Amino acid sequence: MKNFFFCILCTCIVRNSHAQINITGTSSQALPAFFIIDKEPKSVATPSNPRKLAASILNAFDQEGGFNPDVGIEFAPYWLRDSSRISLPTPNPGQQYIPAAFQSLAFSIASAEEKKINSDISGRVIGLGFRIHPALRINVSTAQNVRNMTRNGTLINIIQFVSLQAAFNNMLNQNAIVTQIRDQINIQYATDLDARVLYNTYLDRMVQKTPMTANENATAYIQRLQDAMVMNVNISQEKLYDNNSNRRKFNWEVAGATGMRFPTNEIGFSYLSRVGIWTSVSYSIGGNNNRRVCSFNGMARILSSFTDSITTNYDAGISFTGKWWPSLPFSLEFVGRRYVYEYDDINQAGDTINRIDRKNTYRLALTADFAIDEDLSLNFTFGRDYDKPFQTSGNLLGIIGLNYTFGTRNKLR
Amino acid sequence: MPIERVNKTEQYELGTGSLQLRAWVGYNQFGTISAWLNQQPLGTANSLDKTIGPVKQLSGKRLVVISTVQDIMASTNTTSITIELSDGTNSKTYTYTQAVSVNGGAVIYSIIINLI
Repeated sequence: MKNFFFCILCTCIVRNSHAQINITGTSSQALPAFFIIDKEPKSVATPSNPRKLAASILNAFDQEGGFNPDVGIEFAPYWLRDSSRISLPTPNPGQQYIPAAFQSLAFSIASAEEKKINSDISGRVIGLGFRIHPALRINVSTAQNVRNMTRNGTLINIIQFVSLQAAFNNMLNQNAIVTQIRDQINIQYATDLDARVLYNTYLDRMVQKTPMTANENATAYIQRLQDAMVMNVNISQEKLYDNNSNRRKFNWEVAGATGMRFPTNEIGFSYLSRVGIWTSVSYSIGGNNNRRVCSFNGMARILSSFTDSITTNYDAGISFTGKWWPSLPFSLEFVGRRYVYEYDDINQAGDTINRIDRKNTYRLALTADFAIDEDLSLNFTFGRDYDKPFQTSGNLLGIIGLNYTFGTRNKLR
Repeated sequence: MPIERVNKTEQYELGTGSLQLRAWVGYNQFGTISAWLNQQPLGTANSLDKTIGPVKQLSGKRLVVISTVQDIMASTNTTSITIELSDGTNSKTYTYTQAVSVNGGAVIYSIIINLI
């Protein structure tokens, strides 16, 4: 299913900035590598094993060895390991939480095309970034965690029981074994429709992936089926980490990235164009069913850009996002910025000097997104943007956009 | 990942009163315990505490306790399960341990207890 978006800008500011850093806002960026090069990814690969990572990196290059544009990759080294070597860190006796910052460490790579004005030469800009949640910890005792870990275990127990029955009753073929397993699932969870559906679906999937082979006896087949399921118990650990980080009220992320320019798309001709490090915190206040209805966010970052001049931004900001009612989410955002702009100039005596400009500015913006119906929404941003040199046509910030989504409507109601 | 398997067959001599089954896995281990009396499931939980019934109706039946245990103690790599049976006259505790060859490894315990 494809989503298409188009946007009508009724009034807009011209973003032909003097300095090279246009990054705004206080929100935590999902992909630091794209954030640093100030581009939007068309697609992002998230490889889950070393082979897929290698394939993703190879796809980042074209036939002539140059970088493909708009390529994004993000991977977490911890989860690339062989799943049999992944286990939960050891909690100390009585410990309710285990730190999991290392598991959240992720690296990202981004590539985008960059064309010089009045030139046919197209170069590339490459971003390399990382992000980590230093305070991430896993609650090992929550019912959710245990359920994730043991649901598969329950099915394995049932299959093991059927394995014993098979030995007693001399069951020989896959259908008889699967029927027995299904009967046991349905008996054991006669009053729990969710569990019956879950286990039967999972069983079908595992049997499809692990069919009985010719000349294989029932015991050997059932053991193979169990082995496949235990592998999934390990995989469910990654979901456990995701669930924990997504459900948390407090989130703290530290991220950094660097951008490299390849003006002629050649490895030999490149230079460091941007470096940045930033941290963001957010605290969400929950609504029903764990859907947060509002959050407070804070951000601090340092971003430097190196071209024929050097621009460094020191930003700190806060924002509040919330919903007046479900169809009208909004955010109010304030970012203070001090920039230091260094460039070559000539003084009154005609000497070449390194001029340094320092200035403070800020951005204050209100953004709202009004959902007209399921597929159509109207969004607007209004406020004050940064002063020059970041904007060259005044600092009024006013954007109205119409957002329409094709192809997401469900066929069945 | 290899799964270790522990298969045991035991005897329990029934006394009088009601038969009580308790079973649990070791500390810091994820585990699911399921029990069957003959072919009828008795229940599934992280730890079981179940009254099976008057012993006079249980003679000759087979109690099957199966547990899938995953060790999260990276320092020990050992899993364990304990099954406790008691009635008004007798009681018996069965404890099994099994090392796993890799961190986070799993063990399936299949314990058949013939009630006599």
